[in-house]
Amino acid sequence: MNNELQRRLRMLNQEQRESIESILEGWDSPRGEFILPIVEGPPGTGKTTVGVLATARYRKENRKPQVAYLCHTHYAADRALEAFIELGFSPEDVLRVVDRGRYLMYKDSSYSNYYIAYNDVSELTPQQQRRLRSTPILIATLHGSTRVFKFQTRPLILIDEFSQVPPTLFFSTLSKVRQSSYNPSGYTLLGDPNQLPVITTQQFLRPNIGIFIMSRRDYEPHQLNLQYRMHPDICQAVNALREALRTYPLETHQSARNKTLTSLGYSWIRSSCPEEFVDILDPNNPLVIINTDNLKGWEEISLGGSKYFPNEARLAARIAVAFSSTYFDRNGQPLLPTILSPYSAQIGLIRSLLPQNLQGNCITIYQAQGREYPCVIISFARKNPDRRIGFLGEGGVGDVGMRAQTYVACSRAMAKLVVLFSFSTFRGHRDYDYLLERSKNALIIEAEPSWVGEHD
Amino acid sequence: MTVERHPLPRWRYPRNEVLRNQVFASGRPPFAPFPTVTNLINANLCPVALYHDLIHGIENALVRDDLRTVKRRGELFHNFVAYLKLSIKNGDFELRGDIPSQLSSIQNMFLSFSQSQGFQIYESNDIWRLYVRPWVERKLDNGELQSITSDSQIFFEISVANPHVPFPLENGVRNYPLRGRIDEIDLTQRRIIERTIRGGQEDSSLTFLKDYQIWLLWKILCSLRAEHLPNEWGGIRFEDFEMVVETPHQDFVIFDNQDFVNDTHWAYAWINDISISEVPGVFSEVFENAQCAPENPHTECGHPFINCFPRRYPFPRCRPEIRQTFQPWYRLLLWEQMWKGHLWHYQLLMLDRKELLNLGIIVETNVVSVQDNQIELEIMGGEANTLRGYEYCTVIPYGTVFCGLKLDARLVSTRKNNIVLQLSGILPTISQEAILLLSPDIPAPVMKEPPIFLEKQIQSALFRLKHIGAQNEERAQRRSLLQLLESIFGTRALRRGRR
Repeated sequence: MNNELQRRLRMLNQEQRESIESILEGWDSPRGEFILPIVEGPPGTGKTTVGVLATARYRKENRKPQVAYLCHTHYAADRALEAFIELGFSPEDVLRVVDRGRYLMYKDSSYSNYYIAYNDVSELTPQQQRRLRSTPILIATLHGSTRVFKFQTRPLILIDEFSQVPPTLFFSTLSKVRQSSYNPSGYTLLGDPNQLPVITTQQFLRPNIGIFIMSRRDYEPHQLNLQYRMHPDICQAVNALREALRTYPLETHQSARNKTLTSLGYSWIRSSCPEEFVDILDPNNPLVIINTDNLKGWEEISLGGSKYFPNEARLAARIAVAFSSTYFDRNGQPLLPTILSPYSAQIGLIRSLLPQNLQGNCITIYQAQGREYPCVIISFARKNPDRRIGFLGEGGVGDVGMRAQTYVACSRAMAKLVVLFSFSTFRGHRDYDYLLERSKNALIIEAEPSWVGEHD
Repeated sequence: MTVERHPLPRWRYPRNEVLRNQVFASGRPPFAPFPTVTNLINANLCPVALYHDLIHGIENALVRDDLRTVKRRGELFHNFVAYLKLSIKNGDFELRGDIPSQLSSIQNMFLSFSQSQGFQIYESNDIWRLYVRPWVERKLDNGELQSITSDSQIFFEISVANPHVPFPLENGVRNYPLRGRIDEIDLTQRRIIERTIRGGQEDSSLTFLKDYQIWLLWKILCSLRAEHLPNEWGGIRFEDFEMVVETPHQDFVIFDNQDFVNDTHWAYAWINDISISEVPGVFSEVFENAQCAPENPHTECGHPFINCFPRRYPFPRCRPEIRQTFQPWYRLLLWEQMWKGHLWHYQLLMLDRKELLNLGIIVETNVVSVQDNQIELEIMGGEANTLRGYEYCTVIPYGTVFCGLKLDARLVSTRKNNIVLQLSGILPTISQEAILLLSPDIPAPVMKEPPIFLEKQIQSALFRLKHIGAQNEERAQRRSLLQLLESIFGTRALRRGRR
C-alpha cells in the first residue's frame, strides 16, 4: 500500500496537494485561526482521491489514527469504501459501519468483511467492539454517524459530497460528538456545490453547509478544476450544463483528451452491431444524443409518483445489449454499459428488459454519484404533451435544484455517453437547450419506432 | 390540562389542488399537520411537551428512563402477547395441565421468542419477571387465555386514521384529523385494549394519560364509516366496545369522559398554533403555560432537567448566535415533515381510489400466497417491473387505509406481474393459515410512506447541540467542536489551511 500511496501522491496536481496538506494541518493554527478545509471539486477532478489520500497519509503519520469518513448517502459511502480498497486498504484498516437492515444488501458481496452492522451496541460481541475501536478508518452516512462516534473519541472527520448536506444535518451530526471527552482532531468538507443538492421543500434550508459557511465568513475554498475523467466531447456537454448552472467551465487534463472506448482497451466488432445502432455505438462518437419523440406512447406513473416511458426503456435496453455484444475488453469480456435514469420506475422497467449480467449496471443517478464508468446510457423517461419535466427543471432563482441530476448523470461517463430524451418535452428548459446547442461535437439523431420493434 | 386555549374555528385541511399535487411543495404548508395520538397526549401533558415533540422532534415525553431500553422492552411485551394469543388461536400452542405447568410452558415459549428478537438471556429473564409473568399469571387465573379458540376474533397492531374525527363542541361538532395504532381489538369480547409496561403491582391508579390515549383511539374507530372498515366489520358498533388499559399487574376499564373532549379541542389549538400559526408570540405563550418549574418538576414528565431546564454553560460565547440561527430551522424541519409525510396521510384518506392510483400513491394488489414471512401479491392494472427500484414499502394485507393491518415490507423480487415482499413486524410469526384467514377478497394496497423520522432526528440533535458547552475558557479552547462553532458563529477566524 505504501508504494501505491507514494505513487498516487506523486501524481497529484498542485491544488490537490495543497488540499491534502491543509486537511493534515489540524484544526488549531498557531495564528489562532480555525482550520476547516473545504475542497470544491467538480466531476472527475479527484476530490474523493484527495479525501482518500489525505486519510491514507493521516493514518501513516499518526500513532493511533481515527478517521470518520462520512457521506450523505449509502451509495456515496460505498463508493468511498471502494476507493480505499483500490488503494490496498484491508478490513483491519477500514470498515463500513451500517445498520442491520442495510447489511442484508452486503452480506453476500465479495467485500462483506469490510462491513460491520449493528443497531444497538448491546448486539455487538466484545470482539466486534474491539474491532471497531482498533480500526483506524470508519465509513458511515451522516445519519448513521452515531455508530462511528460511539467508538472514536478524537476522529478526523471528513464529509464527502457536502453539496447534499444542509447545515441542519451537519450540525446535528456534530451533536453526536458533543460529549466533553470526545474531541475531534479535524474537520473537512469535500464536494461540488453544483452536484446533487440538498433536497428540501424549504428554501431557507436549501444552501448546503459549504455555502452556509462561506456566506457567513470571509473564506476561500480549495478549488479543483482540472478534470481527468471525461473525453473532451463529453466534457463539452458537461460544461454546457455547468454554464446553465452558472458556474465556471472545466478544463480537461491531457490524459483524458483521447479517451475513447478503444483507447480504454475495448475492441468493437462493428460487423456484429445492429445496423441502426452503428453510429450510436461508433467509438469515434463519444457523445450521442437521441430524440425519442418518434417512439410511441407517453410517460406513465408508478408507485410514489415515479415515472416510466416504456418505449424509451426498451430502446435503452436494446442499446445496452448492443454494446455488450459488440465491445470486448482485452480479455474478451463484454463491455457492461451503465444505464442511468432519474426515475426508479424507469430503472425497474429497464432492468426487467436486460439480461442478467447487465441488470446490476442499471441504477438511479443518485446511486451513481461519485462513480465513473467507461460507457453510460441515460434515459430521462419524461414524455408528455404538457412539457412537464418535474424536478429535472429549474426551481427558484439561483436554485440548483434537482435538475443537477442531469449534470451528475452526464459527468459519470469517461469515453461514451448516450443520452435519450424527448426533445419536444425537454426543449424550452434551459439545461437541455444548452446541452443541445453547445455540445458542438455531439451526434444528434432521431430514434425510429422500428428500433423498439414497432412498425408503421 | 389546565391551559386556556380556545377551540379553533375550523381545522385547516389541504385544498384540492394541494391534495392533487398541483401546488409546488414549498415554504409554510397551507394546511395544518395530520396529528398522531402521541401528539395529543403530549399536548395534554404540557404545551412545552408538545413543543418539544413538534419543534424538537422529541416525542417521548412520558418516558423517564433510557428511551431505547424502554421501547425495546415495550415492543417485546406487545409482540409476545400477540404471538401467544395468536398461537393459541391458531392451535400452534396448546395450554395443557394445571396453571403452574401452563405458566412454565409459556415461559419457555417467551424465552425462545425473545432470543429470536435479539435479546440476551439475562434481559429476557428480567422482562419475563417484571412484565410478562405477572400479566400471564393474571390472564391464566381469570381464564382469559384458556378462553381463546379458533373462532376468537382478535386483531393486533391495527392502524386507524380518519381525517374527520368528530368531537362535540357546544351544540355541534368540530372535525379533526387523527391517526394511531390500537394494540388489540377483540371483536369476540367486544373491547379494545391498550397495553403498557408502566405501572407497578402497588399502583392503584392508572398509568398517566393512558386513559386519554385509548379514548382517542376509540374515537377514531367509532368515527369510521362502514366502507372505511374491513368488510366483515361493517355492522359492528364500536361505540359499545369496552376500553381497557392493561398493565402487567392490572386491567383498567375506561369510560367516555367530557373532560377528554375539552382537552382535545385545546390540544388541537396548540398543535395548530405551534405548527403553522403566523401570530407572533405563540412560542412565548407555550412557555408561559408550562406545567412545571425547576423547583417543582412534573413527576410524570421525562423532559424537565434534560430539555426544559438544562444546565447553561458560559462557553461557547457565540451561544446567542447559534440559538438565533437554529431557532427558525426547527419549524422549517417540521414543515418539511408536513409536506413530505402529513400531506401523504391526507391524500391517502381524502382522495378517492382512482386518484390515489393516478398519483401513484398506492398500487392495488391481490394476495396470491403467504409463506413464512414472505407475501406474494399480484399487481392489478400496473407494471410490476417498475416497482423493482424500491427497497421498502408498506402493505395492508387486511383492512383498509383507514383501518387495517399495516406492515412494513421489503421488495424481494418480481415474477411476471407479481411482486414478492418480505414482511417485518409480528405477522411473520403467524402461520400461513392465519394470514389467509385474515385476507379478505378485496385489493390489498401497497404504498410507499414517505419517511420523516430523519427530520425528527435532525431536530432533536440540533436541540442537543444547542446545550453543549464548557464551564471555563481553558477547557473550551481545547475542544475543537466548541472552537468550530466559535469560528462559524462567533469571532474566531476561519481559514481553509495551507496554500
